[in-house]
Amino acid sequence: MLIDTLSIQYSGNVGSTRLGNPSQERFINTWSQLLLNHGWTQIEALHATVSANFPLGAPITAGVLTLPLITVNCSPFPGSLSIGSQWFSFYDPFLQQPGVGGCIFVPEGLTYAESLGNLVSAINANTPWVATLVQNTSVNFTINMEALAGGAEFNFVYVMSNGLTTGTSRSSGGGYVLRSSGGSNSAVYDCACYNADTHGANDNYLSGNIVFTFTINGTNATTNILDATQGTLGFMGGIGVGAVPFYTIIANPYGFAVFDDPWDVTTHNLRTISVFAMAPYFPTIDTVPPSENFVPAYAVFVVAPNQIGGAPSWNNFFMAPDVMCLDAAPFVTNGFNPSARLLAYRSPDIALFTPQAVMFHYGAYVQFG
Amino acid sequence: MIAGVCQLFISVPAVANGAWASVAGGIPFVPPAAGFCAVDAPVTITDIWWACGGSQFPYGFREQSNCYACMTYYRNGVAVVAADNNNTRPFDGLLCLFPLTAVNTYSSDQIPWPTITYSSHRPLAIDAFVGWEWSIRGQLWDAYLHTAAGTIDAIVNAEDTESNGLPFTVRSITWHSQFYSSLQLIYEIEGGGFGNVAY
Repeated sequence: MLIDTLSIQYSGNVGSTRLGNPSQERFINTWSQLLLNHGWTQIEALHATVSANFPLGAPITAGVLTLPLITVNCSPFPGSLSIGSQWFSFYDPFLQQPGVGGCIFVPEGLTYAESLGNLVSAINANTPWVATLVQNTSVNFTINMEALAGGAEFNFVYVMSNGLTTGTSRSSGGGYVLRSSGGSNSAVYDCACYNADTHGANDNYLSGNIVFTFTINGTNATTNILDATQGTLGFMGGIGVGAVPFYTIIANPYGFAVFDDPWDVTTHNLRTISVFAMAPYFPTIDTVPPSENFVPAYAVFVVAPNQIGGAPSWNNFFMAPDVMCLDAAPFVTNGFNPSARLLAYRSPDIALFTPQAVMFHYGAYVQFG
Repeated sequence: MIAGVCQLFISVPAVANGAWASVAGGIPFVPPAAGFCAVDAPVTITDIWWACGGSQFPYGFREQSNCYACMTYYRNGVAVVAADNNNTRPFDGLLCLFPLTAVNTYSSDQIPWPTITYSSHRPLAIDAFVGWEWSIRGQLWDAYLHTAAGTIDAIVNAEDTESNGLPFTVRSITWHSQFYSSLQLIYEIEGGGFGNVAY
């Protein structure tokens, strides 16, 4: 048809959910399940990781057997090392024998590497983590751990020590990589949702603990939103302070939207914490007359974390840049760059109504590139 | 001069600068007050027409989508007239067409990219609604809008399909062109059966 009817493109597979107390784990799992229920497929489960650095090695034994062995109990938590609630205690097998307590006893070796190798073996045998040992210098070692299972369950697991490691570590990176359904009328792209360990305090609003990494036309672009409590812990810039009480997630096979529900009611109205990704519909040669000369395009855009809520022209200088991709590598944009923006019937000055004074509904066309 | 049963467009060829060089007017198509857009007590339209042009200023449909000098609209016995002066403003709810544009780009200097469609770089063709007081009042007959600028008075051929599936060619003249919009006035249809065609 010559006239474009501006009709709504229905996917026939759209759904939404409203998530209260959106901790990173609850959010990632809920987001993943919603998208899987509406046309996305899982490409990969991302495994959480965490490291513990031993700057001065670990206890070692002299290797001289002295009998009788002295029975020792677990050192107080976190002992030599703890992963979550499980903790480990070194003991000298030539002088001591394990006693009681909730810890896992680890024999000291004759060298730092041997002691820490025994610790790695104990971790692998007794926890849902796969540990590997890296020797950095003659005395400096790192144990890297990766969760056995993928997903968000093993995020934010604390790794601590009573004096052997450099501070406390917290696991991160667990989540899922999902792929949009695409089909003949929309581009296919991947989105990984996982957590980061940005703590909250001293972070600005762009350093949220919930991370989205989009793989668009072969290039990655990353953006973050806050988890439930992060907004209470420090300066959050123009987005204000306070917890995120709810997230609403809407998904169809081609995109998803996440936004604070609806707005924060504390100090900042219009506290928009959001992300919106979409591979828009475009017609193909099969769906329009050849005379229309439509050219299939690889088109995806991502609206940055705090640009939803104002005018649907996503080019605010003062907010996180958006990501656009139109038949090329994705690029970020703001200001008067060709950012994504909706098309609208142009009524001078104020809203537009029909002859019967009701609102006018039509499809949401987006322009960019 | 392009005339139909219900409307008339007259212009000096290749001139789009006001200077008393164009005039247009007509009775628009008005959809029935029923269906999706209706309200509980729909307004019955008994009389409706519009007129635009004969102005010394470039404030008419020959130049743009807003007509706010030398314009009249009339509906159910009430006429509103704007005189030929340069103190009127398009924001005052005067006669206008409704182009499809990117939001937040009202000023012409904020439109670095014309509104185009997909990656073909061809404009969309949309219905040519006409209205006033910030409401669509009807639709121009035998006309449509392109969502990009064109060449004034250019002949544009387009393909369409009538209700029984037969193709036909629509020939139109670009009566105005402005940044992100052009008004196409159909003057000839070639081919087809002819089934039902309405613009």
